[in-house]
Amino acid sequence: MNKQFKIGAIATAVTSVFSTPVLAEDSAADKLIERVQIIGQKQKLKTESGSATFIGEEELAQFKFDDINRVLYSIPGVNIREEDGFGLRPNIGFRGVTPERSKKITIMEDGVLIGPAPYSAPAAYYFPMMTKINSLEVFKGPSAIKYGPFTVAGALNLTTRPVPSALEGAIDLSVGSNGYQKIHGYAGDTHGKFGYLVEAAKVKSDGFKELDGGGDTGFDKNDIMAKFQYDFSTDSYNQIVELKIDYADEVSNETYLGLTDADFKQNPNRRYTASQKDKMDWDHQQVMLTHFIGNDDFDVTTKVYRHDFKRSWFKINGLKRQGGGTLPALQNILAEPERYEDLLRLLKGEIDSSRNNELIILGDNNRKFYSQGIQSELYWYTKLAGLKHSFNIGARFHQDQIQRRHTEDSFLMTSSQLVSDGIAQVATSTNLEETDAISIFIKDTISYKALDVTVGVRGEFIDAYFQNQAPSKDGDWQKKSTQIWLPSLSAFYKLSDNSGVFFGIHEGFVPSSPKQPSSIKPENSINYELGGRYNNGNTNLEATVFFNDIENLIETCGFSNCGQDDEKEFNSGKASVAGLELTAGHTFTLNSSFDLPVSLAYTYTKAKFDTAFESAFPQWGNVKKGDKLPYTPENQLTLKVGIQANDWGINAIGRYIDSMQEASGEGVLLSGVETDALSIVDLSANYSFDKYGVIYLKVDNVFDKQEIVSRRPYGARPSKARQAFVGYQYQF
Amino acid sequence: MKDTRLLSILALGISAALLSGCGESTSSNAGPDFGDKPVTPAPDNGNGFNQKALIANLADNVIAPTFAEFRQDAIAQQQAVNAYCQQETALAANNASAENVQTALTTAQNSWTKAIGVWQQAELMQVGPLLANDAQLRNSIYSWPTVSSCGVDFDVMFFKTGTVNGAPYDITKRTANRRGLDALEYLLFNKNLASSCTTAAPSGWDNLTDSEKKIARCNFAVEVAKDIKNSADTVVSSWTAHTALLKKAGESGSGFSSEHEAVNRFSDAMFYLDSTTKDIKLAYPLGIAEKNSCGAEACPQDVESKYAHQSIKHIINNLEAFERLLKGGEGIGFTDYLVNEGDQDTANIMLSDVQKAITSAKAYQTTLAQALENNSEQVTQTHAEVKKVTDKLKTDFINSLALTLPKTSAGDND
Repeated sequence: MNKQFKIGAIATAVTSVFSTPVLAEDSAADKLIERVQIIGQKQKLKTESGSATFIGEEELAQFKFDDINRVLYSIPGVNIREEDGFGLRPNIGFRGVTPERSKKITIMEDGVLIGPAPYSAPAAYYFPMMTKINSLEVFKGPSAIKYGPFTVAGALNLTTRPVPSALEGAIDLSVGSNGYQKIHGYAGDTHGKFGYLVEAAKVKSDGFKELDGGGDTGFDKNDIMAKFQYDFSTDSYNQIVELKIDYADEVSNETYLGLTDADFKQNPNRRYTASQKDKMDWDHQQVMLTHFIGNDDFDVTTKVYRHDFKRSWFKINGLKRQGGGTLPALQNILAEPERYEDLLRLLKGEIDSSRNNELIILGDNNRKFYSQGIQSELYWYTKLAGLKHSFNIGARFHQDQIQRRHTEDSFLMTSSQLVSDGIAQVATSTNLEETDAISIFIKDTISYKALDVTVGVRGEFIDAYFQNQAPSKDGDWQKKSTQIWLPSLSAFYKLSDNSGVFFGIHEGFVPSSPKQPSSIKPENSINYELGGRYNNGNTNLEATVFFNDIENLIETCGFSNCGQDDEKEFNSGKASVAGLELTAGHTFTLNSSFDLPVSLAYTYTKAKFDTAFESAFPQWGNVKKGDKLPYTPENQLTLKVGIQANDWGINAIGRYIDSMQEASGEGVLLSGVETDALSIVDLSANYSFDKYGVIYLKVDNVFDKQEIVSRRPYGARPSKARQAFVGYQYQF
Repeated sequence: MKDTRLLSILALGISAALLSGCGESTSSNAGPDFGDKPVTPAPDNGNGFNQKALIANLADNVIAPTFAEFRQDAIAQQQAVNAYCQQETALAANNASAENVQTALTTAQNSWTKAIGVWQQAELMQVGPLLANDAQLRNSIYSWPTVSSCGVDFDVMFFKTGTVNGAPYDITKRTANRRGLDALEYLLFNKNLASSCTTAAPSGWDNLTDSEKKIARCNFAVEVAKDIKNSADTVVSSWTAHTALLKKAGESGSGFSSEHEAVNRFSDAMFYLDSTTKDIKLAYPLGIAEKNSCGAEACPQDVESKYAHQSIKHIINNLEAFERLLKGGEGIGFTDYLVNEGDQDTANIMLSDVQKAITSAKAYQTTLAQALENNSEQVTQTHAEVKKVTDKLKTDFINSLALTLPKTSAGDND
């Protein structure tokens, strides 16, 4: 009842305040795009305080990356732990927060939470297909306070193609090495007040890894989306309603099993026999209804959304002794091959299962999620006490749920094949976590001459419920309520039309999941940033220093990072992350026919624990004051150079990512072990036949350099091998 | 202008107040079986029981003496194995008689039997350092049921040549099933000098004379016995350090959120009787619940300790260690905890059942393997008696003391 009251009150306030409407020049559809795509593109100099980065359609089209990781490397302050090489299940963090399954950043598609169950199970096992993404935005610092529930790091908003105002469409076909195939196309139009868009994409590959004994290690992903719009605008208000429907699926022969370091050196693309049955199979549906109403004084955007996600993730979990009892975890076997020589040979299929070298356990982490809600956001521009105020107020009622039906089957390695041992399937985790959450935020930007001061606060009111649904476990449940107010303060001072300085401070928060006892504290931090930016339309430069003072980190164990599935959460001691983010870009005009755009993104991060503590979390261990946080590279650099002529273009991206620690403290398996530093160059070229379309050629990882990008979940994982593509795109 | 400044100051003031004053609040309520709910330590009801005392007694008066005794036995074993190997080498040089060798071998075998007897008690005491890093320390001393006589044969030759794949031989870096008491049993009790590998024998083995083979094996046995003694030193020293943490359970830096959590680590260790003694040592060779090497029937070759024929003694030692933990030796034990929780019945029944199982196991006139072959009903009876104890352990014991089952006991074969 409280939830309904709060949303209703905001709606009433909105309709009663605005009585003298003035119609804007932009169409309702244009206005809607602005509200979906959060950073305004019109201003040359952004006046947001905080690192807000926008990558538009044109920039994405240069490389047509299917892998979000490759896109995000161009944004400073992003830390990534690569896993499968294709970016199927990315691990993204901002400003030193853990990248594990992107669980500490707020991920949105078209402005709504897109994770399978962002509150109840924040690990982002579903990630929107990059091929259909039209642009993306990354928010860090105080600008992230608007997008919860995760405010420690920031938010990533991926936007899909808007409904075109006139007939428009394209078809993009591509083939490449490793059996790569892509078919991508869209078409849309607006007739009078009605507009529509249909977009579909299919991307597949046989994979770049080589399974012992042969087999497909690739993936097949599909996405189809439709949007329908109707413009109800009158002389007084712009008003539009849009329905978006999307279906996506993926089957990928992926695994968590990596290699020993020695085997990696011989062939980084090898995959052991024991992973031959591993497979991820998911489907995702989304429906979203958006309503926009507004004029020059105010606008309100309301979205109702429902997402359903089902996945079956069948993969090797470990080894078990016949008759019960435990054996070393896979990670231990791969980290200490000499010690576990026989077990390793078993994984490779070199010896058969016997009394002593045991059963191979494959688990199906079968999960069903939904995420639904309604959110409304008001922009209101007014003058109070002689000062210009821009209010931005929003509320969201969100519900999500995860149902786990995890099972395990045991197999014998027989003549290099996994053969069922005939023992009945065992249920492992059978439970449910769900959350009802109300969020509100209020931001007021007060403008005085060249100074914009923004005061904001976000409230999160979370009711969480956990129930163990295994037989005779009715009494294993928990209800938990968490409330928090997260304030922010930021300022932007415009030094000239092209330059300004900014400062911000805000409170970061990561809620704990419903299953965790209340003794596990949510993550809480105070984040500071200070920066300056310059943009004259041809040259841009932005530098930001940041400092995150973290009260305690929260980490969750899953198969992907701990190699176990108890979803247990851990708290750390105090930690801090300090760093510098730098972006620069300039377009050199060589002559009337050639441009030479150059851009650079650099990040320096120093992330460390400020107190000593002992933890059972496998990435921490016995931590001393000053120990580095895991998976946080100290230096990252991306350099992009291109030549753009009227009918052709060539672009190259070079990236350097420092080595990263696999664990912070002493006494855990990967203590003192680091990933390799990574230097990668990607290349793309295109030639336009004008109205007959464009052909393009791309090479990812031109020099075919492969390094160990992580040793989790189980053993060393390679970055993607060289992959070449050729494609043709026709646009109308 | 005044308004402007006022408003700005107000905005900044509000923000500053929020930044300094906003806190998170979380409240929860949970079902009776919710996993990690805080457990209130049992109060002292006047009979002297509290969890701290239970932890201290088990750590200091039950486990520490067992580990110390094993260390003494490991030292004696190392000396006996050295003496035996000297005799074997002397025999080859015609400086000793076959009788001298046999006497020294028997002494070495007896020292192994004594040491493993104590270790079979320590198997029920796998808490803290013995479990760290996938039970690395425990497995270095005794890795059964993961054993490999073929692997030991290979390491005999690696040790003889001094290198493994070009690197100097270092037993501490070798797979657990090629070292420890299980490897030593094979080296001391196995009389067959042929390689036990079903595939090719280790390179050079077949070219050795019988005398050379015996010397190669005894030399490696000396190395294994030394390694066991070193591991025993580590067990004793690391237990002393871990005891300090156990006694601080519930305090910051102890690694245990409560005394109850520390108590739960001891009860976890007692589940060895269920997962290993009952299932692997008895049910598996009996052919109950899963197929063994003989199919689904009694299978003598699947028993523990098949060279030294000590299987039933190992089971007796397991049961006696369980009883010591239950009773707390001469001090406070789990039965006191049960009484403190008002469950005298479970305490009495478990003590009576474990005694019955010990008496029954001591009544064996043959080895376990012989019993499986000639009198499998007796083994089935022993299994049933051990199961009676572990069934109670998994139900009333756990429930009355609000302890949790170790993960390995969930979804087992029962």
